[in-house]
Amino acid sequence: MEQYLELSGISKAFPGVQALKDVGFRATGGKVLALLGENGAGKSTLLKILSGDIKPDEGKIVLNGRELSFRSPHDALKSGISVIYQERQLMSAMSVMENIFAGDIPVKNGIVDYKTLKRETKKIIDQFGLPIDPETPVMFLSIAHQQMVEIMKAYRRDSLVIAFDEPTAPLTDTEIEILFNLIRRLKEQGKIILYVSHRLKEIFEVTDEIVVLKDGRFVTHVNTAETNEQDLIKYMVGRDIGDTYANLSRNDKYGDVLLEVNNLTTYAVHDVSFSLRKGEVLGFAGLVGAGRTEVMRAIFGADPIISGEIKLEGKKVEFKTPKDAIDAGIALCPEDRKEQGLVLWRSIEDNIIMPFLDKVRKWPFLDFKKSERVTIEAIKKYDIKTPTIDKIVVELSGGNQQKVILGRWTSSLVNTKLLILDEPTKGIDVGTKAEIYQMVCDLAKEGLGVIFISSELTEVINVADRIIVMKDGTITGEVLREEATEEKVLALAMASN
Amino acid sequence: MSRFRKFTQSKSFLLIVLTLIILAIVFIVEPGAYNRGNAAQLMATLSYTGVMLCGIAMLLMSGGFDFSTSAQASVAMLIFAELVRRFPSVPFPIFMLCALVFGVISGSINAFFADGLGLMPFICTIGMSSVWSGLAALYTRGSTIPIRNATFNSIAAQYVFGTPIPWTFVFALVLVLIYSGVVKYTRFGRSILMSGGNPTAARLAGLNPRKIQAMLFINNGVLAAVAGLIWASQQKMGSPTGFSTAGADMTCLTASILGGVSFMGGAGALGGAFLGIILIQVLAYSLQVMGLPNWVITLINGSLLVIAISIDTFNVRRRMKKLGLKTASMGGPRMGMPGMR
Repeated sequence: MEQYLELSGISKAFPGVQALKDVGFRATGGKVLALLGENGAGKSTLLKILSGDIKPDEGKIVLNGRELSFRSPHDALKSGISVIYQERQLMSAMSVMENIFAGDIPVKNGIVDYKTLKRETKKIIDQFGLPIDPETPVMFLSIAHQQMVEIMKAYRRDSLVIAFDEPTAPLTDTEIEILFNLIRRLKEQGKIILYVSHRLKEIFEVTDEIVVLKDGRFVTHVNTAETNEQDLIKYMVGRDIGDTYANLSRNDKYGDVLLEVNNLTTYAVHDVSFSLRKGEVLGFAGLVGAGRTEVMRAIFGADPIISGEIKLEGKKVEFKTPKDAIDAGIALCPEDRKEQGLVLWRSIEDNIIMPFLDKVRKWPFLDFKKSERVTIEAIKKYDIKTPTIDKIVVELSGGNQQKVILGRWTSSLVNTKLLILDEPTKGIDVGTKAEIYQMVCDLAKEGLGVIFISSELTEVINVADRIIVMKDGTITGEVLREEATEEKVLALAMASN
Repeated sequence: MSRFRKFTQSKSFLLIVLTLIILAIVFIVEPGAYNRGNAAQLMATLSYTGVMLCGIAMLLMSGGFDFSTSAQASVAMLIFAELVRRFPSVPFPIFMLCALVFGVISGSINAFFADGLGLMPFICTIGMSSVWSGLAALYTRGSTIPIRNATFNSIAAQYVFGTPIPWTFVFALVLVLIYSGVVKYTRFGRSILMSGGNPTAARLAGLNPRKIQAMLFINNGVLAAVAGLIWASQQKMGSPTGFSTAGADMTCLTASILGGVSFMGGAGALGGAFLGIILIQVLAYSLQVMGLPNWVITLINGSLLVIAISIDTFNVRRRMKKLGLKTASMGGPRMGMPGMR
C-alpha cells in the first residue's frame, strides 16, 4: 500500500494576516517533497499545523486514509509526524541517549534501565554511522551532531512523516552532505519527507517534488527533475527577476586603502592579513566556524586581540570596545540579527538610534524630532515595510529587520566608512536578498568599504569584488570575482594545509 | 486612537481605577477610616517605599534586581543611629552622609558581583541580603537602637502647610518624577531600556550594558539608604529587621511589575510603578483599617506579584501567538516586552 499524507483546504488566519488560504497537496512515501516560498509564504505556519503546535481554522490532514486532528504536539508525535525545527528542541544538559528516548525511556522494575537505553541508542547511532557517544550531554556536541540527534529522535519514534525546517542553515557543506545521506536513507525506508529550505541548490540536490507557496496560497506542485531555478523563482516571487546577479549595478572605481589588517591573531584566528579599499566589496567565504566572524569581531573591538595590527585610513587603531570602533566609522551587522543585532521588543526608532544616542540630544534630553526624522529617512531609503516608526521590530519580517540594521548604520547620524555585513541574507527571501545585494553595491558606490561574509557560495562570489577564503582561523586564499567559481572557492575553504 | 482612549486602555488607568474602587469600598464599609491620622500614616509608608521604588524599578529595566535592598536600608539606618548615639555632639547630617556612603559601598559590592564578575544578580543579591541582615543582627543582638536627636526625628513629622501630607512624601514624589523623566527623555534612560532589552545587541551597538547596570546598583544602594533614613526619622530608631518584616523591596518589585516594568528588563515607566505602589499600600492599609493585622501586607504582596506576573506572561504569550512566534524559542528577552503601557 502506498503511504501518503494529504492536506486539503488548510486555512489559518492571524489577526491582520491570512497566513494560509486553502492550501492542499499530497506527499507520498519514499519521496522528498520540498516546500518552497518566500518568507511569509506560509511554510512555517504549515509546519506548525503539522506538528500540532497551532490549529488550522479549516482544512483536513489525512495520513494513509485516516483523518487526523491534533490538540497538542504530543498528538502529532503519536500519529507519526515529527517536525524538526531550525531551533533544536533538545534538553542540552541531558545525554544523547536520554534525548533520543525522551518520553519513552526504558524502565526495569521502576528504575531507568541505562544498559538497554545505551544499547538501543548505540544501535541507532551505528545505523546512521555517526561518531557520537550516547552518554555525552548534547550541549557538548557540534550543531551538526545536535541536529543528527534530532533526526535520530524522529527515527526512533518510527515517525512516518518527517518534516525538516531549514535544516542546513547552521551546517557546513560537509555536514550538509551527511544530512543529505541520512535523508536519502530515510527515503529508501519509505518515509514521507517534507523539506523546507531557502537554498535552491539543495532543493535540486535532495528533493523529488516541489510545492511552491506564495502569500499563504498554493502556487504549484512540480517534479524537481522537470523544473529549473528560473522557473521556481518566478513561481515564488510571482515575477521574473531574471538573473539576480547580472542585473546588479556595481561600483568600479576604488579609492584609497581603507582598512589594513596585518598578522591579526586572537583566540580563534591566526595570522590574518588583508586590506580593503574604499568602494570595494570584499567577500569572506568559508565553512561555518572558519573564523570569519571572529576576525570581524576583533576588528570591531568586540573580542580582544592577542597580536597584530589594524590600520584604518593608514593610521594604526586599537579598539577596546565596539564603541571605539563605531566612533572611528566602523559598523557591524552581526550574524544573528535577533540575538546580536536588535532589541526585538523595542521600536524601529529605538533600534536605529541606539548607537547614536549622543548625537540625538538636546541637552539634557533626547531630541525626539531629530530621531523621528532619521528613522523616517531610513524607512524610506530602504523601503522598510511598516505602518509607523513605533512598531516593535519583532513584528517585522526577517528582511525588514535586516533593513533596520542597515538603516541604523547608514543613517545621517553617522559617518560609516567601513560596513561589515555578517551573513546579511540568512533566512531572507529571494526578493529581499536581491534588494540587499543592490544596497551593498550602492553603498560601495558612495565610497564605503564593505566586507560581505556569506556561507552561500553563489552569493559571495557574485556580489563581492574580491573573495577571501578562510579555513580553521587562517586565510587559505584570495580570488577575484572574474576568476571565482564555486569549485575554486570551495576547494580553498576545505583545503588541507 | 485618541490620547484619552489610549490612556483608558493603559495599565496606569487600570491601577487608578482599582485604587479608587478600594477607597470607595472602605468609605462604604468603614467611613470612620477617612481621617487625618490614617492618611498621614499611609503617606509616611509611601515616602520610603516610593524612594526605594526608584532604585528597584530602574534596576529591573536594566534586567537586574537587588534582593538586598531592604537589608541595605536596615544597615544604613543602623549605622546612622549608632553614630548619633555615640557622638551626640557631632552634627547629624554628617552621619546621614555616612549612611549614604554605605549605600554607595553596598551598591558597589552588588555591582562588582553582578556586572564585574558577571554572576546572576538575583542569586548574589540574595546572598548579600543575608550577609547584611546577619551583620546587623550580630552587631545589635537583634534589638533596635533608639535615636534621641529631636531635629532628625522631626524631619518626617513636617507636613505641607497643615495638610496630612508629609514633606518626605513630596520628596519621594519629586524623585519619582525625576527618574521617570530620566527614563523617558534622556540618553541614559534609553540606554538602560536598550541594554536591558538585549545586552548583546546593545554592546555591539556601542553601549556598555554592564557599566549601566553597575551604576544602577549603586544608585539603588544609595536610594535604599535614603529610604532607611526616612524610616528611621519616622520611627525615631534604627532597626535591624524593620524593613525585612515589611518586605519593602518585594512591595517595590510587585509594584513595578503591576505598573508595566518588565521583570526581564527592557521595558517600563516609573509613573506606572508608582501607581502600583499606591495601589498596594492603599489595599494593605484598608485591610488593616478594617481590622486585619498589619502583616497582611505580606499576603497582599505575594498574591499581587503572582497575579501580575501571570497577567503579564499571558499577555506576552497572546501577543507572540498573534505574530506566529514560538513562545519557548524566542531570541532575546523572553518576557521583556513592553506590555500594555
